[in-house]
Amino acid sequence: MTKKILLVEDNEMNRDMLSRRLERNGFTVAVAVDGAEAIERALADPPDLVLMDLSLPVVDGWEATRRLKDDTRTRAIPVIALTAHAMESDRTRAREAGCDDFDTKPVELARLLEKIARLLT
Amino acid sequence: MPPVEVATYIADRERADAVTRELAAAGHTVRAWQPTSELSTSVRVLVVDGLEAALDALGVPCDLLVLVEADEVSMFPEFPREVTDFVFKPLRAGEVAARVAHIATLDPLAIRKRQRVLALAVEAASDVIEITDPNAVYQYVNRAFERVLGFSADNVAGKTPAQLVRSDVHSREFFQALDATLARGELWRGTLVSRARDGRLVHFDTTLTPVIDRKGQISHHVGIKRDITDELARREALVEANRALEQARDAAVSASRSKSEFLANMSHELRTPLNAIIGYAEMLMEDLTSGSQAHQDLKRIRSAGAHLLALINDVLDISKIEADRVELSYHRFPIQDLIAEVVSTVEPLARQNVNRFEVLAGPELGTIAADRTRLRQILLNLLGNGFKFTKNGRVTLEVERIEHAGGNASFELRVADTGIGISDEQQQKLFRPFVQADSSTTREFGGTGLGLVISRRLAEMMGGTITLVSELGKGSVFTLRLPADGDTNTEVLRIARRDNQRLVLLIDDNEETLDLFRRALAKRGFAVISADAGARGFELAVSARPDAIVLDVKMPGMSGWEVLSRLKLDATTAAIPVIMMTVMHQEELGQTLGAADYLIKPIEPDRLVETLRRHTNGPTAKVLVVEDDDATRELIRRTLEHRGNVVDEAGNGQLALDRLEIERPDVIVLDLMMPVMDGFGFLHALRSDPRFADLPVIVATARTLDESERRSLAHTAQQVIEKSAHTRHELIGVIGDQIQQLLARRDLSAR
Repeated sequence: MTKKILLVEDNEMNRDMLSRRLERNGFTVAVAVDGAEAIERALADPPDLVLMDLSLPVVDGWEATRRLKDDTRTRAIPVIALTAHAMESDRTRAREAGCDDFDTKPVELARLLEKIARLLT
Repeated sequence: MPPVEVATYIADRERADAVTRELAAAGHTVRAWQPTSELSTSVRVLVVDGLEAALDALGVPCDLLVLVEADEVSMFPEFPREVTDFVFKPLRAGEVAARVAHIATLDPLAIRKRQRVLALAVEAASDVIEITDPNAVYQYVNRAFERVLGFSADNVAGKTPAQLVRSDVHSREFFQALDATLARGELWRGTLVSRARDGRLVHFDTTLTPVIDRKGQISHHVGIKRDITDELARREALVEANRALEQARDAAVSASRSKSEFLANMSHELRTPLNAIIGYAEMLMEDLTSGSQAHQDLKRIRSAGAHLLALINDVLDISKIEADRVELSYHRFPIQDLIAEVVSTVEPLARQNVNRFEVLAGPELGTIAADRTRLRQILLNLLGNGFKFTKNGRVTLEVERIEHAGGNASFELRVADTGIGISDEQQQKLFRPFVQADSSTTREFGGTGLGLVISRRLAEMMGGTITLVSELGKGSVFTLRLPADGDTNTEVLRIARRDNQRLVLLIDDNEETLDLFRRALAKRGFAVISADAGARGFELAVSARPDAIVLDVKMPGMSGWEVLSRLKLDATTAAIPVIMMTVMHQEELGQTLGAADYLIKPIEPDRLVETLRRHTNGPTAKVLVVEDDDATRELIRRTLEHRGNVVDEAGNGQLALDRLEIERPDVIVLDLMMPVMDGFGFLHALRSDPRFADLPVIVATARTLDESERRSLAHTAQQVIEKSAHTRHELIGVIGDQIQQLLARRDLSAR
C-alpha cells in the first residue's frame, strides 16, 4: 500500500517539485500551503508522515507542529521539519515543537527519502 | 589705662624732656632710642619727632606716634599707613600722653597686622564671602561678590540678600529649613541660586556659618560661596554627551543586528529559487538517458547550482562570524562517531580524482565536548580541500588523543595530502578573509576561498587552532587541535556579554541539578555558567563576575560556606549576591557569612528563577501582551521572556481590562484588530481610568492606519509599530527594543 505524505510548503515551485519527486518515488502526496491548512488536512485525511516547512504564513511550521503533537488524533504522525541551512536555533526550536526529524533546504532528495523511510518503518 | 613702655626719638632736648616727663607722670616707662640700636620688643610706642626722623624708624615692631607740622602729612600720603597716629606741632606734651594712652588701648601692632592680612585675604579671595547681621542685612561683601554678582559694596549697603539677589528658584520651605538650621547655631551647606545684577542665575556651592558672640547670641552670619554655574553646565554637557554616545552605540548595535538579520533572510531568499533550479534539473535528468547532450547540459546546470549554493553558504557563514552571530552548542559525543560520519560523506570525493583515502584513528579515542555540527563542517572543509587539490595521490586523516599534565586532554586531527601544495607566499594569505591565496586557483578549482577562514575561526571559537605545513608540489598537512573538554562557559560568557544577558554562576557538584537549573534559567533569559566544585566556582566567579551566584552548601572539597566566605572576602566578588541551596534552615549562618538569600531543597526551578529575578537588577518589566492571534502572542511572549521580562497575556481588550484589575503591568503591547473589544476600545477604556492614564502602551498593528487613527493613537499610545514595515521576527525585536527604551526612561525619571 502506498504511503501518504502531507507536504506543507508555501513556495509554489518547491511544492510542485518536491511533490512530483515524492510521487515518482512511490508516495501519494497531499499538499498544504500554510500551517492552518496543514492542520485541517491532517485531521480530515491523516497522512503517514508530514513534511513541514517552518517559515509559513498564517500559522508557522513550529506552531502547526506543536498543535499536531498536542492533538491525540494527529500526535502519532511523524513530522520532518524542513529548515533553512545552518540555523541551529531553528533546529532546536523544531525539536522543541515536537518534530521527529529535520532536514535542510535545499532538499537533497536521496537523504530526505532515507529519513522518510526510517520514520515509516 | 594700662601703663606701657615708650621709647622716644626726639633730637630737641627740651622737647624730649617735656614729653618724657609727661609720659612718666602718666605711669609709663620711658627711654630714649637711636636708630643705630635695636628697639626692645617690649616697647609698645615709639614717639618720633618729625617726618624725616620717622623715615629712619619705619619698620619698627611697635606703634609709631609722630610729631609733625600740620601741613607735612599731606605731602607724604604713604605715611598714614605706617604711622599709627600724629600729633601736630607746636607741641603740647599733654596731647602726646593722651595719644599714647589711646594707643595703649589698641591691640598690639603685630596682631593688627595679622588682622589686616586676614582682611586682605578675605577681600581678595576667589570665593564670594559675605557677612550679614542677624537680620540678614549685609555687613560686608568681598571683591568676588562684585565680580560674580555685579553689585559693589555700595550697592549692598543696608540691603538683605532677599532684596538684592533673590532668584525665585527656591521655595519658601527651603529658606525656612535653612533659617532653622542657622538658628540652631549649626552651619548650613548646599546649593543656592542667586540672581546677578544682569539677571543671570548664578549657582553657588554654599556654606553658611552662624557667628556666636560671648553672650551666646548669633552676632553675624558668614557665607562662603563658590560659583559652580560653569561646572554644572560642563557636568550637564558631559551627561548629555554620554547619553548621545549611548544612543549612537545602541543604534550601531541595532544596525549591526539588522544587517545580520538581513543576511540571514537574504540567504534564505537566495536558496529558495536555487532549490527549484537544482530540483527541476535533477527531475529532468531522471527523465533522460544519461550520456545524452541534454542530460550533460542538465548536469552542468545542477552542478553550477550546487556550486552557487556552496558560495552562498560560505558568505553567510563568514558574515555571521564577522557579525559575532554564530552560537555554538556544545555536546559530548564519541569522536569516533563523527569520524565515521565524515568519512562516509567524503568517500565519493576520494574516487573523483583517483585518490587513496586512509583513516588512522584508534578505537580508544574517547569523547569530545564540542559543537558537533561545526566540527563536522571543519573536517569536511579540510578533507574537501585535500581531495580537490590532489590527483592520483593520497589523503590521510589521522586522529590522536593527547593527554596533558593536570588531567586535561586534547585532540589532534591531521589532514595530510600529496597534492599541489601551497607556497609560503600563498600560506600568508590563506587564512585572511576575502584575500584568496591565488585568484587563478579559485577559477580553476572553484570555491570562495572562505572555507579555511571559516574553519579556523570556528576552531578558535571552540578553543582550538588550525595550523598548516606545506611545500609546493609535495603536499600539505592541516592540523586541527581542539580541547577534549570544550568549555561551555567560555561560549556562554561570550554570548552573555554580546547580548547583555544577566549572568548566573551555578556551583554544585550534582550534574543533574546543574543541568536542570541550567535549562530552566536559560529558558527565562539568564545566561548560565557552572562549576562542579567549590574551588573552580570561586575562580570562575572572580574571572567572570556574574550578576548572581547560586551555591550548593554540601560539596566535597571546599564546602559552600567556605566558598561563600571567600567570595565575600574578595573585593572583586564581594558585591555579587549569593543564593545558598541548603537542606535545612541555616539562615543565621548564611546571613553572618553574607548570603543574599537561601533556598531549601528540593528547589523548584521556578522558585530559583523568582529568587534570581529579585536579586539581579536586570531590565525586567511586567509586560501585558494583548493580541488575539495565538502564534503571534506566543512568539512575542517568548522573545520578551528571553530578554528577562515577565509576561502576562490577554486575547482581547476585554480580557486585558480584566487582567489589569488583578495586576498592573509596567507596559502593554497592544494589537488593534481583535474580537470582542479591539485595541481602540481598550485604549479608550484604559485612558478613562485615572489609575491607568499614564500606563505606557506600545501598539503593534498589521493595519495601515488612516490619518485620524494615527492622530488618535498619538494621544493614547506611547509608540505605534506598523507590522507591515517589518518581518515578524524584526517586529518582535522592535517591540523588545521599545520596551527597553521605555524602561530606561522610567528608570531615569525615577532617579
